[in-house]
Amino acid sequence: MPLFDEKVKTQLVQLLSKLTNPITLHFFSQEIECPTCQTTHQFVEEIASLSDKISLHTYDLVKDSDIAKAFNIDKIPAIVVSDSKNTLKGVRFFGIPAGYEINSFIGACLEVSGAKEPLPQPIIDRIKKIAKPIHIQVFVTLT
Amino acid sequence: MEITFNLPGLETIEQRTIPLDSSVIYDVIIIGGGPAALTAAVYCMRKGVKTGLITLDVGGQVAETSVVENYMGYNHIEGISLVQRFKEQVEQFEIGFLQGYKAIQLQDGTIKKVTCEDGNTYMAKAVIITTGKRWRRLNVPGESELTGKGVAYCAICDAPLFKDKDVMVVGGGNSAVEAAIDLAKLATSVTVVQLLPHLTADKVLQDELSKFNNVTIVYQHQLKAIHGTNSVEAVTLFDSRSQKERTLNVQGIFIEIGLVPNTELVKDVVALNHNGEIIIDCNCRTSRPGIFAAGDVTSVPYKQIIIAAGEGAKAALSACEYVLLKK
Repeated sequence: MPLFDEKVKTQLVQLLSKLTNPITLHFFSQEIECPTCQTTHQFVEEIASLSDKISLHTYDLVKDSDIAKAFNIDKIPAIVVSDSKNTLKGVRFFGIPAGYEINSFIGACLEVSGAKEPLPQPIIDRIKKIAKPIHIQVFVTLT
Repeated sequence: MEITFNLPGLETIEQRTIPLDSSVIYDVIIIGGGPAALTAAVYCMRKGVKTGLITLDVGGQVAETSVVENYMGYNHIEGISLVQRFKEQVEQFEIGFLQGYKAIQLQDGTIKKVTCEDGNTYMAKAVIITTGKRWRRLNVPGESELTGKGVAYCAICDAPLFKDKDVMVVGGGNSAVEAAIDLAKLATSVTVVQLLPHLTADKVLQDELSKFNNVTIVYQHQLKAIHGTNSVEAVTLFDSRSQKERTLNVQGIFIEIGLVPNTELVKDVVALNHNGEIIIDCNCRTSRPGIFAAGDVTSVPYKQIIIAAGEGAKAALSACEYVLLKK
């Protein structure tokens, strides 16, 4: 049974039509997949089928450990969103981006494809004033 | 395992807003982004007048409200979801939209000129001011330096950060007592500092607060200073009876002493009342022709989402009528 029903599929197609440049999803799983890995695998396959701008590569965390290391993946299921040249943009999803998380996932895909949200100049100016490296960790709950 | 995908509604995806244009003379420019502003935007667009909207952020105080249970049509809705609904309703129109910038100057005249932080000046025949209110500050030493580092204004937003800590609430009204109740559930201790000899909050709230045994109320005291290097460590309290100062160690301070209207933009243009609110008549007209106002920034009593929204509608209709008669 597909994960996306017709309604969700129509919405996703519409959202993904805003992809500017092609992107690649790198999915990490393992030979005998855990239930979440299976669902996430299906998720990325269905997503990739909705736009010709999305390519999908599937890797095995153990067998493709070099690639996993290069993408900084240490747990599965994991999805890396990169541009078509496999350039890392710092976007990794662990677990399945279901529920409300699908919005962040689609947002990340659009962002990586170059369909950027314009940032107001005062905010850009403030960010430019940051003088030292800063490590930001964001913890999010749904409610 | 059932998997669901919560995407926003289909009809909401299409955004028709257009960038605000400084070469155009708009019929109406709305300044603000809360319920009054967004409702006014919908009404103006439905009236078919050329409309623009300038706001720093969308949602106003509703965006900081956890749950709303008194906006008709919704038994229970998260503040942020209600804002999203409002926004989507505006976005279905080709309204000139400028978000992320503050309007910094308003010039009165037959054509009103609104200068914005983005460096542009926008023009309109009528302006609706819906800039709302913001938290009132104490203006004591240490307050601005330690804001976000232990000094907080929104208990709904920040209370969870003070779990197992000693915190203080400044104020004695409804918002202060509500904050103290929220905090008492999480914090080790809560000290409520009140200037008056009694609290002014509703009795139901005071009764609720009295159920907690980790809450102390200090009456007739004033917060004089906030101390701390990287975060709040202590405060200086002044006892107005003994005229003595003392220090109390706390890690968090919630300043809940009400709100102030955002009237910097218009204070020299339109008449304000003694609370600094824009005086309006029952048609949302200010003291200057063509300048209208709605919502919490105005003299209209009872600051509520539904009232702000209703006033926004009224201001829009009034402004549209003004523009029409000018033609």
